Amino acid sequence: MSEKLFSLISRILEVSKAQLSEESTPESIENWDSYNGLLLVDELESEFNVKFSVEEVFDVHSIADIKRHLRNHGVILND
Amino acid sequence: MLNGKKILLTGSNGGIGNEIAKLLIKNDAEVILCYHENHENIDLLLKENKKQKNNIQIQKLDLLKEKDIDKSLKLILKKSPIDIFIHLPTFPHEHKDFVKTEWIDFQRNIDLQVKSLFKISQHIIPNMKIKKQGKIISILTSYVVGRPPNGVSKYVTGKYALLGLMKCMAVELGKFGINVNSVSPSIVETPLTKKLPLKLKEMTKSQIPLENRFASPLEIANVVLFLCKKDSDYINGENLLVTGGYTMH
Repeated sequence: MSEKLFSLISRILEVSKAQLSEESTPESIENWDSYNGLLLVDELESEFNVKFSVEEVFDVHSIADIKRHLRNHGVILND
Repeated sequence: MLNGKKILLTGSNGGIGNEIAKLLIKNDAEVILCYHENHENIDLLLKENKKQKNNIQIQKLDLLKEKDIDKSLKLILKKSPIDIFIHLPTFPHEHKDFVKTEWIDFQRNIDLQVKSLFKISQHIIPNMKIKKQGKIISILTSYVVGRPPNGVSKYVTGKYALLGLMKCMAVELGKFGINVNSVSPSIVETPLTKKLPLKLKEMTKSQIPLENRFASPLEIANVVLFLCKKDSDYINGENLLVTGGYTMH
């Protein structure tokens, strides 16, 4: 599942998977601005069949945060 | 009603423009509908308004080409003067960071929004002055008030420039009985905004006091119609915010 998540992030933010890690943040990924961040949320919701609240969206500051919120919605991620 | 009023409308194939066109035709105006390349909505409008076909003129017009504007306006004005000019051209939405934006992107937006209004206005204003009446209306964006989102610097800069020009024209043309006003909507449900991220729309809607929803094109068209009518004759130099309270201070 983590592989799927990283592929999705890589596709939306147009960055190679090698450049991504749990510690990746909007500051470290050039294309991760608020607009692309919301595009990412759209894709995550559709791909993992979950619905994030506005509070959850604002609480995302890294890929680790995305994983935490996906797990909170019952998504199983194999690390 | 707008019987006998001749109205020039740019961007009339777009979501808001087409709705304005429909409303003007319904109110018996004579319209000149300008489009650039796509005209499928205008074709549909013509089909739906066959009885009013004598009141509808279609004009292909590339607003980025000065010569095209000059040529087309001369042709249009040969028949009769323009009473009202409504300006709402826009490029399709493109999200691009400021640092990745080239000056040519800004220039194109300024040319489309501002230069074309400048050129068209200079053609139509002499007749408005003679008649001692006329109305010039532009569609801006609520982003000219408060904080714009990121990635739209070229679009917002074009709109701010247009707002500045509208205000200056309102000051200078008021003495001739010419009203110059703008309408600034927040997000409107159109094909242009359909492509925005769903989450962005959901989050923006949640901040709109009026029913947590976006405006329909008709709701914007109704405000433009009001500005076209005699009822608004004392409104000048205004930028009417149509945002469901989103931009409330």
